Formats: sequence, C-alpha cells, structure tokens
Amino acid sequence: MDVKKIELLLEKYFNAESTLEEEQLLRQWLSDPKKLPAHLRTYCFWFEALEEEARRTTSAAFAQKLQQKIRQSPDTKTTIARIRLLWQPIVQIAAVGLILLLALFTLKRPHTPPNSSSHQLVVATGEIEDPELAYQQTMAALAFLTSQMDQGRRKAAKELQRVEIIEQVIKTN
Amino acid sequence: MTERRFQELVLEQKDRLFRYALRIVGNEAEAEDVVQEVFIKLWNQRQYADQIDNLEAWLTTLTRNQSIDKVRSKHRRTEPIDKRFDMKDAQISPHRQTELNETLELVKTWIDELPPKQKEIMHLRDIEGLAYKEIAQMLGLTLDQVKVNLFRARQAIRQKMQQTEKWGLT
Repeated sequence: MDVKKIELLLEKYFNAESTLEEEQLLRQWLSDPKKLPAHLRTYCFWFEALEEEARRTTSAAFAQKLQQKIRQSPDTKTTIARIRLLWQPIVQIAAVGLILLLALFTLKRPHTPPNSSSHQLVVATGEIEDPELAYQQTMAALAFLTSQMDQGRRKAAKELQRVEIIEQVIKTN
Repeated sequence: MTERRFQELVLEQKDRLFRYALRIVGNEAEAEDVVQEVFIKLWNQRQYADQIDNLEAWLTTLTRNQSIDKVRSKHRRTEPIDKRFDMKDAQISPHRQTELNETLELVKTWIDELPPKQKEIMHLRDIEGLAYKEIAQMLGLTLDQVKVNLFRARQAIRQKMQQTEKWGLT
C-alpha cells in the first residue's frame, strides 16, 4: 500500500477536489487500520462511520405500512370526481330555479305596446293581450334565460377549475 | 406511472430518502413517517409523474421539505445513543461494538454540528455517494457553491479529528 498515494488522496478529499472514484479508493485503502501507519489510522474511523451510516435502512415493516397507507389514502382522481359530483346537483338546482323564476316573472309581466320588431324584453305595466307582442316577449325572455344559463355554466366551470388547482396545490405541498 | 413502477421506485429510493430524512429530523420513526408521506404524495400524483424530469431529485426535495416541516412542528428530543447505533453484528466483539458505537456517535455529532447546508451536502456526497452535479441539481445550488460548502464541511471535520484525542489513541 502506497502511503504517499493515500496522503495525496486524503488531501484531495479534504479540499473537496476528489472524484467519487478516488473517494471509493480511499475507503478501500483505509478499511483496515492494522495495515496503516499510525498517522493514517485516524482517518479509518471516519470512513468506517460513513460506511455504517450508508448501511442504515428503513424497518422491515416499512413497505407493508406504506402499502396500507396508500390503500387508505384518498385518490386525487376520486377527490376531483367527488367535487364534481357535489357541484353538479348544485348547478342543476340553480338552473331549474332560475327557469322557474324567469317563467313566473314573464307570465306576470305587465303589458306595454310594442315598440320595435327586435326581441327585446319589455318592462311595462299591465297584461299582454296582443299575440304578436306576447310572442316577442316570450322569445326575449327565453333569450335572456339562455344567456343567464350560459353565464352560470361558465362560472360553475371556472369554479370547478379553481377547485382542481387548489386540490393539486394541496397535494403538492 | 404504473403501480409496478411505483413499487420499484419505493424499493430503489426508500432507504436513501430515509437516511436523508433521518439526517434532518434525527429520529428514525419520524424519518420513516416523512418517507411514507413523500411516497403517498407521489402515489396521489402518479398521473403527473411522467412529466417530472428528474424523479429522484423531486423525491429528495420533497423529503427535505417534509423533514424541515416536521422539525419545525415539533421540538426535537435526542434519542439515546444505543438505539441510534444498535449494530447487532455477531462477528463484532462487545468491546469492539462499544468502541464502534462511540466512534459513530462522535462522527454523528460532528456532522450534526455543521451548518445545515454543509451537513446536507456532506450527507449527499459522503453517505449517498452523489456527484457534485447531482447535489447541485437537488439543492438548487451552483457547482461552485456545492464544492465550497463541502470543502468547509470537510475542513471542519478534519479539525475536529485533529482536536479529538480519541482519534490519535484508537
């Protein structure tokens, strides 16, 4: 065993200039203190301790415990599906409620003379007796209803997207 | 990521991550908890796992963050020496066993006394055998920062070796 080589490698090691291969070589050379001069024996125990630390492992039951935990852990996909399931009936109920409200509002709408051929919702007092006007009012109400439903659907989709992002962030952290 | 790939990854990485967590939390049971949490997170995000460039680095970072959280959330209590270095090797004599435990305890104390960054880098290099580049990537440092920190850590250890009478006597 070349003592000079060991000393040189030790210098490189403590100056953080050694390669992984050189460090491995150093560990081999310093594995038996009996074969080394006294001044080098000091370093044997350092490398021995590092080797010992590198041999530390998880307990035998670790993998089994992990498997169990994974089975119990709620899946991301399932969670998102659950959030969707929660949101869907809310959106559906809100849409039906909106339709009913608008229908009620339209039927009870007071009468006003027609002022244009466009399908604009007319707000006035009295009842509608003119069939043409009633038709126009119904069409306007339905157009309004459709636009409101679209708006509602867009908002619900946005909220759902936000919930998914939050879910992802929570999982990541 | 398939279940099979996940299981392979657990087998490949569990001990490395455990030692890394242990270096930070200083308690075996808690280190195992940390690694368990890390793998559960990976499992829950397995549909995105293929998009992760370096899964090993990702797992290391996650382990580091989880460990730091654990340390912050609870005040550490030092474990007794005999539990930490309980090496039941039949070939080692009781006298040698005691000697080894003492040495290991001393080395452990030296490493633990280093500043956190130096400690982490020394662990990844000297215990896990990672290349400078890999360490830099994992810790988000430059190659020079890794080398400077490792240099300081090893110099500090060398000084302690020289100061400790035990090393000269053993």
